[in-house]
Amino acid sequence: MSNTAKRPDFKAKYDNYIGGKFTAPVKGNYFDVVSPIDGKVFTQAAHSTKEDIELAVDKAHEAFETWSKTSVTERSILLNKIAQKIEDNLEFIATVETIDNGKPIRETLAADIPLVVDHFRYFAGVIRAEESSIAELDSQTVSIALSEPLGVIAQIIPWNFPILMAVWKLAPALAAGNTVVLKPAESTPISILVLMELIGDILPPGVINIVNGFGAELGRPLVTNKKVSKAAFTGSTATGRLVMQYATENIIPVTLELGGKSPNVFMKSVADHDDDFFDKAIEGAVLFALNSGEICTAPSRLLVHEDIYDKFMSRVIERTEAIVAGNPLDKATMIGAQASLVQKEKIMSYLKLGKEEGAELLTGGDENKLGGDLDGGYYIQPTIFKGHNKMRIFQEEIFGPVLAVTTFKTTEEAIEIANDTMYGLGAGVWTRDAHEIYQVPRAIKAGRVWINQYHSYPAGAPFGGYKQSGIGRENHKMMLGHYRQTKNMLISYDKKKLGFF
Amino acid sequence: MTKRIDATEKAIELIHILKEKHGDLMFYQAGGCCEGTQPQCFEKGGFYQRMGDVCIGEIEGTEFWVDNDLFEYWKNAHFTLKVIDAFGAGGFSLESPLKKSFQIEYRLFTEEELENLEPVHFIE
Repeated sequence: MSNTAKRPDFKAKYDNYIGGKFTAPVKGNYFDVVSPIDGKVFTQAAHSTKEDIELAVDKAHEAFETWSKTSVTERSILLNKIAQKIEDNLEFIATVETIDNGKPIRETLAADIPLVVDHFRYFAGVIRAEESSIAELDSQTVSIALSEPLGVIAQIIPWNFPILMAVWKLAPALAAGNTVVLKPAESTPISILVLMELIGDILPPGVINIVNGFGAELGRPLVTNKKVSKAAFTGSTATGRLVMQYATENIIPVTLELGGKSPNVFMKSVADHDDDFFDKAIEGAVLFALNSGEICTAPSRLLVHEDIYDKFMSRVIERTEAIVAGNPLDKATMIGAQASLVQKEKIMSYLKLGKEEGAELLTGGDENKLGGDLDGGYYIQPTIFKGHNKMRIFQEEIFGPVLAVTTFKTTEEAIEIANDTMYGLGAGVWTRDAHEIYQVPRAIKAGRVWINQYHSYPAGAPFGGYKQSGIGRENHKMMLGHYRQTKNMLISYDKKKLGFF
Repeated sequence: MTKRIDATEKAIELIHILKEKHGDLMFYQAGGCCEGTQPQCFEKGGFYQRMGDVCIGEIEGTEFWVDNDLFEYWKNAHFTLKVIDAFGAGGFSLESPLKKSFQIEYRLFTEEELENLEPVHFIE
């Protein structure tokens, strides 16, 4: 029996999803979609233009009229139905996601898609328990603060978790009563459309609209469309700033998630015993290779107390070298392909740079030629460099399975190195010391600090960046606030006039 | 004087194609996830630089700007602008609809080169 998921049949080409229907792009163009698994074209996606954006925004705007007035009960029921449909088709969706993105099916089955299901359920749940506020400001004056949805939301999605990142944005936007025009990344345009084939008819037409194409052609017309009321983006700092710049035209709010260079700090007490916790800590360091390192919070800087460096790193290197590379559709494969040739080439340039700038290569350091059917795929060996925090491989987000290790002598030095970065998205702190468990995370300037764990993303825990890592907190009911505005009704129960005129 | 940035023939050719379509251009490179640290090509003036951002040189009259925080790390490297016949970085760079991506190849300057570098200019 093969342990390899069967490739589903894909359509020859995928249209946009607009107004509840698969809709051909106005100009009739499509682009080839390559699977990173083997570098081969497996289907085509719509190469849309601003005309398609306009059509989608118009449909979303129309749908908002009724969708914004649905009861929270109704929206909650529909979000739960979506969650159930996804759960019932989990293996199929996970397979499609793996083909689109190249990540191992082990991860899409155990993480990406189950998190998607739970995310819809979380937002279906929290909106039922919410209440608006009312305040008696004086005996005759009452203030009601009611939340109202914004309108049409523009969402621009990255390629590292094509479905999960879409759902982090879709679930709160829909729960809050908005409609959406979503642009997937051009390197992973298909899985979200396959998802729409399954869940599209659960929602009224126009509530979710998907338009594929290139950011260069669609980003500006989407964010600056006068009927768009908010933009949400995940990606690079330059593009994030451009989205903000576009958002100034119509004074619309933005939420941004823009990456990091996250420190993973291992205090001395970690190696006090060779027990389950030590074993967990070693895995925690090796999580740099999860999703082939293509995670905004990837723990790509490893900070280890110098006294435990040898004991700890020998085990980390051993565990890294035990990572099984192979066909991402094989359930035994632990590391898959990078999402695109461009990404693979970028990582290769950093591998070269790391060696050039004098970092010590501890393991890996090259592409991974897997041969056979996978020969054209985009594979990189999990790589560990030792160096210091001023090296470029410690400061730039490589977005690949590349770890940069350095040591520290004191807690103060660990905190200083951890914070010596322009980003502040994620961080990890590992210790057996009760005081450090509280004090070190508080001193790290990052929106999410994992303590004695890493890379968990449960709904209910707010996620977002400090510093140049962005604006907003996803994964939590507070995200509803980013998709709504407040209607204040200020009521006077006083029959007497003010007396001014 | 040593230049901080050069371009391959193919990159120059692509710049000409994009100029014909979009008029004057600019490059900008910053950090972050996905397309972060990729050079992005925009219409000239289409990207609002930060105070302190650095222009490290010109290619075919097109200015190449980098983020001021990252210049601290990039100032010791020579940039070669090249082109890959593929897309997928993401971002809003103008070449991607042509199924191409600009990319930078880095080379650390020698001691000698470091002493004789072309001056840069900043947004002030």
